[in-house]
Amino acid sequence: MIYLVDPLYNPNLLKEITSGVYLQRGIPLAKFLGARGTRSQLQQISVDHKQLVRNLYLHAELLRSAQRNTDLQNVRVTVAEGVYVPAINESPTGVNEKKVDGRAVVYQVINRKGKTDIPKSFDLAVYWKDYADYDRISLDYDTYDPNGDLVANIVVEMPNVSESFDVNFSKQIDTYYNGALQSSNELLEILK
Amino acid sequence: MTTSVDTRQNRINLIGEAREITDGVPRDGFNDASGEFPNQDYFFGTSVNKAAKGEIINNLYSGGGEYGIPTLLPEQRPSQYPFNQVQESKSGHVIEIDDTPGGERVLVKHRSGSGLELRADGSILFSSTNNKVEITGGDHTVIVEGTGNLVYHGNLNLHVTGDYNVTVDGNYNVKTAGNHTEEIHRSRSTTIIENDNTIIQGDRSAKIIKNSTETIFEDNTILVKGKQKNFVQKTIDFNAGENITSTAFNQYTIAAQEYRSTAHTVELTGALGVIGGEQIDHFGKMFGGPPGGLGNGGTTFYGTLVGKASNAIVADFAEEAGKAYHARQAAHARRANQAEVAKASKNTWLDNLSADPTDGSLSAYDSNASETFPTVYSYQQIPPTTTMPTSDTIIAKISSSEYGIANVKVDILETDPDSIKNRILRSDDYNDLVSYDPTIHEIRSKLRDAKNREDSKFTGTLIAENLLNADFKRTVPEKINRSANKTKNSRFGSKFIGNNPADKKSKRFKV
Repeated sequence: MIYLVDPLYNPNLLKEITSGVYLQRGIPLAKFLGARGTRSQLQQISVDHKQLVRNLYLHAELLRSAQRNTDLQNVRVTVAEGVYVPAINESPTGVNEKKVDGRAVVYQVINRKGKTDIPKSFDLAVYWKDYADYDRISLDYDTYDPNGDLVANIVVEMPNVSESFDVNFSKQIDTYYNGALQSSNELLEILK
Repeated sequence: MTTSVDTRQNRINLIGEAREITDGVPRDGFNDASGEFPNQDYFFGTSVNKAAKGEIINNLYSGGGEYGIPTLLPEQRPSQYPFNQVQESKSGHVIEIDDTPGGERVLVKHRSGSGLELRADGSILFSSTNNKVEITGGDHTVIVEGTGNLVYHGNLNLHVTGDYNVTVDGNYNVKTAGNHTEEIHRSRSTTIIENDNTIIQGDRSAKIIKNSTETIFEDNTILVKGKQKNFVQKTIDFNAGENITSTAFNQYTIAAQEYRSTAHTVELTGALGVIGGEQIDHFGKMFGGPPGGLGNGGTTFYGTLVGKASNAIVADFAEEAGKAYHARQAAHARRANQAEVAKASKNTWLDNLSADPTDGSLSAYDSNASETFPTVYSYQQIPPTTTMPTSDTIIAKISSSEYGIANVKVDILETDPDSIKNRILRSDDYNDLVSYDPTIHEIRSKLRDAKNREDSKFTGTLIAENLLNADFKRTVPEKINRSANKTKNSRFGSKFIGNNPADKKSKRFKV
């Protein structure tokens, strides 16, 4: 299908790509570059910048839809992992490979206490599952933090966007806990 | 909705005849002539604003916090009638002045969610759902008694046309994931009262157009693991108030058009090699070497010798060889007092010296007075004032004495070569995945790759550094709550469908 692009933020019309270009209202490219888990700069990114921005455009629309959702008024949807720059000798696979060119982005739902909100993360994942276009949504829980806190991440994968914006969305969902698959074709709300 | 200014025909054109007949402008005068009120939410009920009665709470857009940065504001309690004065416009703008005991607040809210709220505890919430512009014609002063947090998800540009003065009474910490660029059009001055530590994991380069001066009042140490090269187009002055020690493990080369080396005491020794040249003059008290003679590893002199030799096998003049063992082929053999053999000289004054060398030489001198001979210096035995350097003594000196070769090793341990470097880089500990201690967010990002998750060195170091939970591979969650499959979920509506409030939120619908 041909994805209809907001002409105000059409990446194909950008003359220069900087971290300050907007992909949606209130969503600059810097939001995906400066994510906490993948702090990167445009100069480091070897992928064609226009291709990168086209891929991220779909994520920007997704993020905007979350911001407009009145059910998420008391939480903030943030980009936890955006564009990934591998280490010199690293050959990323899986999600990290898709993070390199902006196809995959990891989101977190932060509550007013400054922590990930588990129930709202599930709500958002379900909302996106029902109303958004995507290749894959993974609800990814982990207890990596040394203090053992449970953290919820929403990993969203998008297809590679061509210049014509002719894209197809495969719409897969699954749930992971500490990197282990818990369910395919189902989103689970894990509490600990 | 029609308005009072619409003609009937306009309304029919706009909303259709059937609706015009049922919903049109009421004719009895007890309802809003414009048809705008009551609002749909207030059908079949009192028109007192629901916020005034505490049925709803008008909140500004605030969202959640930022990771690790809470934005905790106390929850607003519902208003009590009649303490809350509410003005709500048709489109949804709200002004509230609430005197509800315990929940006193003032709210100015735009329909978009932007606005200003003065809360019961005195907190102020200023919220903008889009841009915010703040212009101050005069001075601007901000005083915060507590902690401040600023988060910009985009770029931040700060332009100060005057001076920019920052005073920090605690520590000043800057962490940059990317480059740090400073452009200073005039001078820079830095004063550090205590220490200055810099760690550079990559290269360092400095270009100085004019002069550079470094004054160190105590010691200066430079350790180089690789090569060090100094190139100076003009002159180098290399002076020490006390000693200079310069050694090389393999080769030490000095080359110049002119080379001068002057000292009160000089010692220049070597096991083998060459000293001197075609136009070199040697001066000294004594020249010595190992015994043994030509071809036997002994000292050999070539050329013209002016002076006196204890042993002379071949000499142009053998004026006096007091204790020579051999003086076989001297051009002139004037006197050989104690020579065992003194034959075949160019001018032979005595044909058969071997018969009686002492007597023969004396008689030869006497019979050839016409020959001119060089000045004969009186023989004096001068014993060597120092021991002759040998290969053994030189090797011992090179390897062990205070004048020996320094064996330079930088950052090398048998058990852990490059230990200091790796401790700085951390790249070895983390298997080249990161070269610094990563944050939990960066660790989470790395562990999304199955290869990295299975990298025991990487994860082991993280656990040892207390950066990763040791239980990170536990794959069974303790509790699962809700679930959702691929089928679209029906949702409770948050907006009415139709005009019948009795049915409003009991209807589930899919979008």
